[in-house]
Amino acid sequence: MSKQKKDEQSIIPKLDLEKFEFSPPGPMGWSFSEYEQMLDNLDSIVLDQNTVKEQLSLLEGKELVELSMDGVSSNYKLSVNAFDTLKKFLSENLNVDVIEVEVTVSSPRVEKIMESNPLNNKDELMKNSFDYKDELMKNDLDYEDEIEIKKEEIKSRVRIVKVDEGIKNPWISPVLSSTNVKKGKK
Amino acid sequence: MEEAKRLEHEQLLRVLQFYPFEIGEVRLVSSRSGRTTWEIETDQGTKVLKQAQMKPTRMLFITGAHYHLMKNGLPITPIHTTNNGGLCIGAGKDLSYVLYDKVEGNEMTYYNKEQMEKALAFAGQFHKASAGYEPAENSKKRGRVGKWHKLFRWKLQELEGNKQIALSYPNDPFSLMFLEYVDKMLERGKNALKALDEPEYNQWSKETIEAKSFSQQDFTLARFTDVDGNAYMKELHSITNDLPARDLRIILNKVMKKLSVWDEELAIHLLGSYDSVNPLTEDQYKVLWIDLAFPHLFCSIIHKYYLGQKRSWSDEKYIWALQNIIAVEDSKDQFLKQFPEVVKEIKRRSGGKLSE
Repeated sequence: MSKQKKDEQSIIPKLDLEKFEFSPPGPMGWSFSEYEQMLDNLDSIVLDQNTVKEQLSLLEGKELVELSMDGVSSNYKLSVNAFDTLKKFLSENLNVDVIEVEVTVSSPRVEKIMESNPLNNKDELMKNSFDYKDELMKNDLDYEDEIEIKKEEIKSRVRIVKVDEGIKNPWISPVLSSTNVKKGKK
Repeated sequence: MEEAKRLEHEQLLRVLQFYPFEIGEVRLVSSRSGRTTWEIETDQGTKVLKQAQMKPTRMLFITGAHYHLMKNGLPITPIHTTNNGGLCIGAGKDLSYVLYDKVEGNEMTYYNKEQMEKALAFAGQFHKASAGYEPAENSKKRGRVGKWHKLFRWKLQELEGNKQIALSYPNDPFSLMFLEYVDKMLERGKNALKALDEPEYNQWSKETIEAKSFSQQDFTLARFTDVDGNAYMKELHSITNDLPARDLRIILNKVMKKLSVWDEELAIHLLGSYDSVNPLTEDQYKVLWIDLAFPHLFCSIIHKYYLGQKRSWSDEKYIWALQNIIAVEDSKDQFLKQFPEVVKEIKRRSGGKLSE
């Protein structure tokens, strides 16, 4: 190979940087083409449609309850589906036109023991094992101030009668079966 | 896709029928961290419907506070009540809905000194307006007033535990860097814990309980928008019964972390802005200093690393974050040592007087 040819081969090719697009490095960045694609479809940037769909499906069939500051009563409205079914039933069977149906139910009361002022009794406070997560965790601090008391369930008395089978033979480990023991003796 | 949208619309109408509006177009805006928001076109303007994976009774605690702040004149987006006066709607045990006005404004950023100044003045307004809040009886309350000892102790114990883990990873660069600083941070944390036994903390806690006030819990500019040059709260994410110092510590640490250094001048400037609206006593500043001295940021990054909370973070990203926090905590030292001078300067700028 001539010297000239060798020199030509050893030239490092120049890269045309203008062809390349740069984005922030590392996992905090994203590649430019992906970013461009996202801009073309803005909806997909913010929206995790599957999660939203999943969450809304949780709503299906659930009773909705309004919570107000008076905190005593809550009004339960029939769901759209239930309302439609009832409307259909009444108009077909009783020839009645239903405009609105509203059912009011008193809200279930939850027995609570409000924690006494913690400043008055620090020791007691420390003894209480609160269920809390660090504020810096993903879902922020979730730290309960109150202790919900579950209703005590009435325990029914059950008498367990164990059949006394009697000890017929002494229990011997299968490892030490009579033949093995005998063999061992030998 | 169209079918999915129709179903979504149908489900949301079940919630929206509780409100006195004629519903038009429904637009999904965002969905993350268990919170989804939609913009709803109504006959009375654009509204925002928020769905949160949260106990309805907890949501009632937050929306009650929102309503309380609104009544007390805080610039916060109006929250809407249902036809029956409900502040929020619950679906089952873990899903809640709230409806409020959409507020148009400009984004507020941490790098804009003027906007930060306004945000801190807003915090002062917020804490003042929060006083006298009586949550609904059936709401699920949240609070940490009077319980800082426990939190500090818990974080220090966790840090000690993580130190032991780090010792078993002699070839892990993050652990090596952590071990270099952990003793200093533990000492600062222990001193802060000890300082809580001084009467100032106890006194402020008692005052906060008596005042029935609350703090934001997670003070971030994401909840604000700039309307006609003023900070306006577009959403109340969460609240907790705690000392105002907590919000101040969180926002100061947050902004300094972004700057990678504790900027003394900026800290004084921002606290001066807060103080001009809600003046604190020297004793209350002592409590703020205790909270600033506690290595919250350091504990947080260590916690994240050893629990693998940020799955998308590379080792380099973790190391960078740790270096950044060490730089902030190191430069904060000097600031913390100048308590009397700094407080005097804050008061001079806010035009307030020092009182115990």
